[in-house]
Amino acid sequence: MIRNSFLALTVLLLSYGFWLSADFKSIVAGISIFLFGMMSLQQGFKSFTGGVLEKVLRTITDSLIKRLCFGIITTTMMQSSSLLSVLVISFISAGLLDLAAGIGIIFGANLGTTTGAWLVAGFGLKVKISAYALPILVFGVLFIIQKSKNLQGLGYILTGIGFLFLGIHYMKEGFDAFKDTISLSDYAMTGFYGLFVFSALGVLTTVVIQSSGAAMVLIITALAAGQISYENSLALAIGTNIGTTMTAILGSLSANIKGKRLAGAHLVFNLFTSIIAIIFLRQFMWAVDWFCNIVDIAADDYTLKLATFHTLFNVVGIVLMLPFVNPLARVLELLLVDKAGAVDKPNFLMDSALEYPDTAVEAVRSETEHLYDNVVHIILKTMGLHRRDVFTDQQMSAIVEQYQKLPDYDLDDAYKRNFKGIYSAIIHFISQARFTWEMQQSGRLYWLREANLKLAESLKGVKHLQKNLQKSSLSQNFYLKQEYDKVRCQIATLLRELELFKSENTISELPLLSQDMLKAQLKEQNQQMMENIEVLIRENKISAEMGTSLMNDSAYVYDIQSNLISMAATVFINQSADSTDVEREMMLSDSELSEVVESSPE
Amino acid sequence: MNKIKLLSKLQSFFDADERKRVQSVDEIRVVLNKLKNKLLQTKKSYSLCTNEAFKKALQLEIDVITAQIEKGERYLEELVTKNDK
Repeated sequence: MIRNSFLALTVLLLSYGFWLSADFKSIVAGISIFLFGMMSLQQGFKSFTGGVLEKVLRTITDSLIKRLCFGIITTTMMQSSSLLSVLVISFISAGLLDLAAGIGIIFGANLGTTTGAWLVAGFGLKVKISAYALPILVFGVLFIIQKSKNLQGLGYILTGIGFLFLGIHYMKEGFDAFKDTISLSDYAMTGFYGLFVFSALGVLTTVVIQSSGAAMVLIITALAAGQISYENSLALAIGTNIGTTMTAILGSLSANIKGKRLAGAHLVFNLFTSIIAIIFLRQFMWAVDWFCNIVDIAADDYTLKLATFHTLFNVVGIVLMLPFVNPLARVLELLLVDKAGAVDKPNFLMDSALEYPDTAVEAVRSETEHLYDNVVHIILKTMGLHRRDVFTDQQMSAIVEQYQKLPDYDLDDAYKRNFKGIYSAIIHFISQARFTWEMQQSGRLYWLREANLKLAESLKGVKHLQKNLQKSSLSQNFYLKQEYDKVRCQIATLLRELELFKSENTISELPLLSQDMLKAQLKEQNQQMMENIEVLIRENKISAEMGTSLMNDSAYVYDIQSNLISMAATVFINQSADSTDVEREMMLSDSELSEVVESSPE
Repeated sequence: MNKIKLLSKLQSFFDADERKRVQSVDEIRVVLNKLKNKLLQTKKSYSLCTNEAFKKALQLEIDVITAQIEKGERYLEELVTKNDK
């Protein structure tokens, strides 16, 4: 509602402005064309790099300098930190990047955005760039209509640059013509009052335009046309630094708490940098003059001096804040606390995770782990057992002995409440995540979907088992009761072992091959159970009807357990480990395992 | 180094399948070593164990690891002979 009203008001104001002044139209058109150029540039880099950014991002987490450089270079190339912010928020939300690493990249991105001011002040305003804009646009469009993805990417980059140039040209023309009718410099303010008013104006402009880069170009062109004073332009530049955090905050709304913490860090850093710049403005101005004198920038070249100021106060901010990256991350983790996720709703399937293959895979894996926890809860409840006992060192047979009476647990309701919603959300999420250029991740998503199916099948097995488990708990037949207690004991023991896999997935040596042992145990237990049932029937300790029910149930028990083991192999084991492929080749097949179990001495 | 040797080295450098095969051979050797160490340890535990039920579980583990080693060695041989051909 508010958003729609704001849009309607903006349209009305702009229309009024266009009717009032042709020069205003030229300036606003320049901003729009510039923003469109930025979008085109991002689109080009996105399709052109095809996963390169993500690959680099995965390898630069070990050094602060690498993170900073990554932020600076990427933002300089794309002339916008938005794409990088979204990428970093997605990676942090999915748990593929820690907060401190994300903060380092965002610091670098902040410095990277200042290069735009240098390009416009040093080149854009001194050369007639509109002359280059049109041919670049022609080549850009020519490449876009080609079939090759790389050529299309290049085309988007060229059209992006063309539109950026054209946008700057229109803004410059607009301000030049504007000064003949109205001189905004008449409204210049001096002192701290002017500093605060123009900083606030800078914030407002950036929030409305949603881009600090475009806002800076607007300020530089206005300064070049003499429409604003140098001192006021510095205040406006400080304001853009605060305003740009709004983009990150808006981007983090669709992310989880980790993404929100990064947006918080961005806000803290930019606020701190801006406050430093406001307090020490005189000293900064002096430093800018001193620097310009050294590098031979003319004393009246205010646009380049503004670019120097913009870079300088961001560099100072980074230098001052760098030692506090880790403490800042810890404070944000304390302040923005992760609320315990709802058990019946998906906790990891954020829209932001769909942006990149790695984050999508990690989100589905984490959600499947969440679903597994719910399945464990349902299985234990059905068997009348509790997590607090099962996941300890207590002897399992003693735990099972302790809980003889099985509760009347509504499994259908639990399935609907704790399983179906999340299961459906995972399947829907996977169907949305279609990555053609990263086949490896598409394969991982396929296996994760299979793992979810295994969880559903194991619950189906539990459902079949429930009736006889409850019947046996009320039975007077000691032997029947004993067999069903063994069943509960076997399933609970497997859940305990899988919990160990889950918690030790990174340190377990040869985790895939270790699962063969679980499968062999399972086969042996099944074989043992069949033999026991035959003996019990033969000795008339249980009736033939009871025996056949037990045999059917032993098949369900086997299915439940083997489904859970298969699921664990996909979800709990680090698939990127070097030995995973080789281990998969060496894993024993079902028939090989049967052979081993049968040949193993009694 | 004669020309033929140099050419074959260059060919294997540019041959992605060959690179993957060499990598697999290295990895399988590492995994086999780990399995053999695990087998030795399990056998040691088996000889020291007095509990019958636990001993039975250890015996099964020994059998499973032995089968895995055999399968791994067959796979390794297959990979090595593939190169000889």
